[in-house]
Amino acid sequence: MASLNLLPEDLKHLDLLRNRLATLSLNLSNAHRNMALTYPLPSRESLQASAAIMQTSLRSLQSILSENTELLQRIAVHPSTNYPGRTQLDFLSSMLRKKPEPEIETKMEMALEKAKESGIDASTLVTRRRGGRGGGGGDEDDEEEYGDGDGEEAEEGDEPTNEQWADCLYIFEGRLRDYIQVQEGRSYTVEEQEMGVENVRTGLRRNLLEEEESEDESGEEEESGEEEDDVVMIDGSGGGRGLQRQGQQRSGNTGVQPEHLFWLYARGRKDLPSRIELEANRAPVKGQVKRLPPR
Amino acid sequence: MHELFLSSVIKEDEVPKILALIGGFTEMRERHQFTRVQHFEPSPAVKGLATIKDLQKERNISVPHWTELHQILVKQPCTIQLRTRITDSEMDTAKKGEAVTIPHDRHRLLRWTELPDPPSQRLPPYITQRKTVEIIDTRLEKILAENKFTRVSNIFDESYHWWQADYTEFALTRTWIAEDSLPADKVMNLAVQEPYAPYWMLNVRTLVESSPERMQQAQTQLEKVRDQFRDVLDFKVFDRRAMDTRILPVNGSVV
Repeated sequence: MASLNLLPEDLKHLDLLRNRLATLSLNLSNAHRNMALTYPLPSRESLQASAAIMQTSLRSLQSILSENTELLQRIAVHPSTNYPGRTQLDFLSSMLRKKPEPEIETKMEMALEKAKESGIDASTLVTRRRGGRGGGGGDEDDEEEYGDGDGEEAEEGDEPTNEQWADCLYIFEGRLRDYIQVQEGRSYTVEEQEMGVENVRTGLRRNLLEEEESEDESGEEEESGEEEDDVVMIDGSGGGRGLQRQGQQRSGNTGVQPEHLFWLYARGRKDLPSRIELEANRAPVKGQVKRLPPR
Repeated sequence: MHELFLSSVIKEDEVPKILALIGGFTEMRERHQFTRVQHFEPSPAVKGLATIKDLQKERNISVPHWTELHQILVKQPCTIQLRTRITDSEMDTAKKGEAVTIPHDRHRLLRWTELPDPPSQRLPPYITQRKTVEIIDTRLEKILAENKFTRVSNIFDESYHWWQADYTEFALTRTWIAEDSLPADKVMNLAVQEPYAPYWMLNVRTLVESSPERMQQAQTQLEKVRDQFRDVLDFKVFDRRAMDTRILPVNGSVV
C-alpha cells in the first residue's frame, strides 16, 4: 500500500465513490425487482419513488465524480505484485477492463444520441467535466444564470438545461395558478361531500378554523357547503395502544393466533408445534413484567 | 439480502382507519393486490438442487442466488415459498365462480428465509431480522418440479401496500387457504370462504444488503417507524421459532 502514492483523503473519496456505486446498484436492483414482481406494473407512486431515489443516487455520484475529476484522471489501476494473476486471470481482466461491453457501448451511444436530439451537446458535457467544476456539476450555475435572467431568456447553448428549467417553471406556474384559483377554495373531495363532511377524518388534533377566527376576531362568513374541520383525535389517547388494547379479541372464534399465520407462511402448514410460545399467553398480568419469548 | 420487519395485528373493523393512517403517513394511495402463495418441500432423497449445474450455466442475474440456495439446502432442507401475483380482474372473475387459470409465463418469486436472528443488545425483540434469498423467474414451478420438490400448500392473500421513499414497505395482509380440490394453476374464489384468521397482519418491512452497516440502518429506520406510531400501533414480539422454515427430524419423523 506504500507504493500507492495516494493521500488518505484520496482513498476516502475513492471509498465514497465505491459506496455510492453500491447504493446505485442496490437501487437499480430494487427497482428491477419491483417491476418484475408486480403485474402489470407497479403503481405510479412507486415508480416515481424509484425514479426519485435513482436520480438522487445518480446526482450524488455525479457530484463526487465532478469533485474528483483530477484525481480520477490521474490514477491508474494495476494489480499488486502479490495478486494471484495465474489463477484469477479472468477476474483480473474483468476488473481492469476499460472498454465497455458491446451491449453497454450500444446503450451509451443510444443515450448520447437521445441527448443530442434533446438539444444537449455531448461535447459540452465532456468539456464541463474536464473543466473540473465542483459542487454538484453545473446545476448551481444553471440556477444562477436563470435567476439573473429576470424574465429574459438565458443564452441558449451556454447551459443546455435552461430550456428544461424554463419548461418546468411554466408548468409549475400553471399548476400553482390552478391551485390558488380553483382548488384552494375546495377543502373536500366530491366523495367526502357526499358522505357528509362532518364524517371526514382529518387527523387534526384541534380545530384550526376556530382558532383562526378567534385570533382574527372578525366575523368571517363560512362558505356555503363547507363546514369547520372536525376535531378528530387519532386513537390512542392516554398513552395506551388505542387500536390494540383489546388484543385478546384478535383470535376471534377460530383460535387462530398470529403465530399460526407465521408458521403457515414459513412451512405451508397449520399444525403449529406446541413448543412455540404464543404472544397472547405471554401478555403480562397487571404488575408483572412482560416476558420475552425464548431465544 | 436481509429482511427486517415489525409485525402488528389489525382487527377487521380497524382496517379503514389503518388505510387512512398509513396512506397519510406515506403520502401515497394504497396499492391493493392479491397473491397466490405456495410452499414446496424438497425430496428427502435429494440434497440441494439436482439441476444446479444447468441453472449455473444460464449466465443470468439469478445464478448467484441459485448457487446460494443450493448450498443452503444441501446443509439443511427447508420449505421454500413461491409467490405469484393475481390481477384484480382475475380475482373478480374468480369471485363470480368462473374458473381462472394463472398464466404459466407470469413471473413468480421464490423466497427462502432463514430462522430469524435471536434478539440481542443490538437487535430489539420486536424487530424480526432474517437472511433471505429471492429469485424471480417465470419457470420456477417447472424448476422445482425438476428438482423433485413437492407442493404442500396453496394459499391466497389479499394485501394493501405502501412504500416510503427509503423503500420501507408497509403491507397489510389477510390470508385464505384454498381447498385441496383446487387445481394448482387455478385462482381461488375468495368470496365463498372465510379468511384463515379473522384479522389482518401489518408488517413494516425493509430489505437490505447483508452488511452490518445496512442492517443497522434498517433497524434504525424501523425503530423510527415504531416511535412514530407508538400511540397507535402495537408492534408485538413473536416467537421466532414460528418462522422457522427448516425441516427438522423430530422423534424419528420429519416436522
